[in-house]
Amino acid sequence: MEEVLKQNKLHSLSAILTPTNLPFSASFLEQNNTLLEQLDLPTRKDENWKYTNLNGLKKLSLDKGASNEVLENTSISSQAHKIVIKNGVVIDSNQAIEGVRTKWSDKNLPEVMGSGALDALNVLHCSAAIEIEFSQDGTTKEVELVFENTINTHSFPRIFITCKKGSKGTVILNYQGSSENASFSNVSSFVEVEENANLSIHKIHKNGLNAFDLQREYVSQGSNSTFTINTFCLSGKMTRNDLYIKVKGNNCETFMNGAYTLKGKSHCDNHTTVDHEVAHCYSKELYKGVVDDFATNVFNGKVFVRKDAQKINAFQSNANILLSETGTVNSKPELEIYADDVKCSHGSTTGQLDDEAVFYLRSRGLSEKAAKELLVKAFLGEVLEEIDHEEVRSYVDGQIELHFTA
Amino acid sequence: MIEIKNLHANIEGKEILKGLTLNVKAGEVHAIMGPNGAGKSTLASILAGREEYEITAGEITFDGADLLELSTEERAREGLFLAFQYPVEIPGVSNVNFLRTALNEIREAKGQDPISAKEFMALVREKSKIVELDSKLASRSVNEGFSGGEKKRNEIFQMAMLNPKLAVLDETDSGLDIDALRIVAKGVNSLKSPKNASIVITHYQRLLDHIVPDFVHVLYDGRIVKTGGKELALELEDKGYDWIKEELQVS
Repeated sequence: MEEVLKQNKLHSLSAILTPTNLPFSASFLEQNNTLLEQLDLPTRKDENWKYTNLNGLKKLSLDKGASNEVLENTSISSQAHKIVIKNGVVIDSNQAIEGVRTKWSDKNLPEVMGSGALDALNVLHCSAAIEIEFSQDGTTKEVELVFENTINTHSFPRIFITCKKGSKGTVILNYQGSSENASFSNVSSFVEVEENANLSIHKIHKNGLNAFDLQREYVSQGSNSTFTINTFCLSGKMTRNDLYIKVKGNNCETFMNGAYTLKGKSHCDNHTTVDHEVAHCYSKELYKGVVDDFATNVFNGKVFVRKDAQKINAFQSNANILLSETGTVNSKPELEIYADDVKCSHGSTTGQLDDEAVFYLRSRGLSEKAAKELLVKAFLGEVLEEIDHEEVRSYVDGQIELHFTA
Repeated sequence: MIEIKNLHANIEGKEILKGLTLNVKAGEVHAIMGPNGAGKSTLASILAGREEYEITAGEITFDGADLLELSTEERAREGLFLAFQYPVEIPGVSNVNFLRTALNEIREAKGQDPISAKEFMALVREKSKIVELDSKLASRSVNEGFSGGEKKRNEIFQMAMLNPKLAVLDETDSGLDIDALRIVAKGVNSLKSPKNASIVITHYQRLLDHIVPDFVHVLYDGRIVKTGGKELALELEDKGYDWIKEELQVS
């Protein structure tokens, strides 16, 4: 037995997790089980996991150890309908929200396959499924999912978001953990932005210092749609986002913004893919962050422009500031273009704070810390300016300040 | 105000200042002139607290305190101000936001409450007029996209806002056309009081037509080799520095 576990880390991981009690069909579970047998956890030999090592997952005890810390004021938006998912499980408020479903029968639970081992693991140990649907004449405009992790356990939600034809919606995915929390989040999200729809997602990763948070989003965009996703990695031992956006219709706009403030030994990895399948679309990506202490940031942004996808404007940029001599940044912007009439650019920079600027500010009376904070805020300000949600922006702004004081 | 005694300083093992002595009292304006490489900018850098320089001998007393023991920001809070020869561009940091932070840090060091937004904006309006700085520039990113003249006016604007005891102007006239020079000089003059002092470091006499010094010092080879009144500046303009070098060789 010992030998078998060693051979397949995924299986040994699966063995310690509670099986899902959601009403998936037997065939769907079987399909995922088969996948799990064929695959293993990604390793650094996999191209997409070259800089992110999941070995630490083996050490996670998920012993249900709890913290006495009470999470307060975790919610960010005052306008949103709220759903709290505590330690992986939806807290039933008995309050019906139009367009939102958290209770399932075997007939209505969507069965969508993801793309790899972590998705299969998510299905087999799924702890919550949440569906959000925005429609043109619906009253629900904004939903905030607050994930609170205070116990060292697993939280494997599946999230389905649909922005119906001509509708507009905002979703805040707010992951919060008690400070020392060592939970394991593994999230699969499926997002459909129909034609002429406009969806914004704001993601906050404010996890406990020992928490693993692995997430995938599968997004597809219909014609004339706008999709915006803003990702903020503020704390956690390991945060990994895989964002796949398929732009299937003409005249779409896609915006991806990210900011990260890493310190201690935290590891943050953002992999993004935008696949322009058709012509006349625009995408813009901007990820910026600061890396302090022994922290590591990984960025891998991929833009595909398919053969007949002419007149695409795609821009991608990643910028990093190392605040210590022991931080690490691995940044890889990629463009794959098969069309011949497009305008695309990508760039990546990694540097340090300008010593001259720090000296200049100090010579006016600012402490070294205040000078650095001002410069970092200015650096990240470019990303924050892109955030059209006032409360999200001010929350993140406050967190950046805390990053320097805590 | 400030007393510099027998200052020796190295950078990367090379001795730049070789026994510089200078005494500036409140209410005075001192000009320091000298040829390239004499150590003028080194002096400004050391006063502001740049860490690349190694002080090998001598002392600096600023208002009774040992200046060399203070960090750059502590010197600023004690009332020392350096107008940079090359002001730094800082994208994303607004001039006013930065100045408000600076002003409040200085006030905090003095045990005062932070300035209110209203008082602060009134101060910005009042002081930006002194250097004819468009209030739009005050709210833009620090020096970003400013012309050479605007950068120098911004230095004087900051000086006016922070109201230092001792201002060190490092080649503030470099890169200025005659109008900008006049505005900068007017700004400096209007800030002059019996309680504060300035050290004006310059290459050329022309700035001293506008900011009239009480003393002119010639810095050569790391030391003050000659001191005189404002007429010394005119003599230097007329004859260059060679006669001083010759004088030194003779003696």
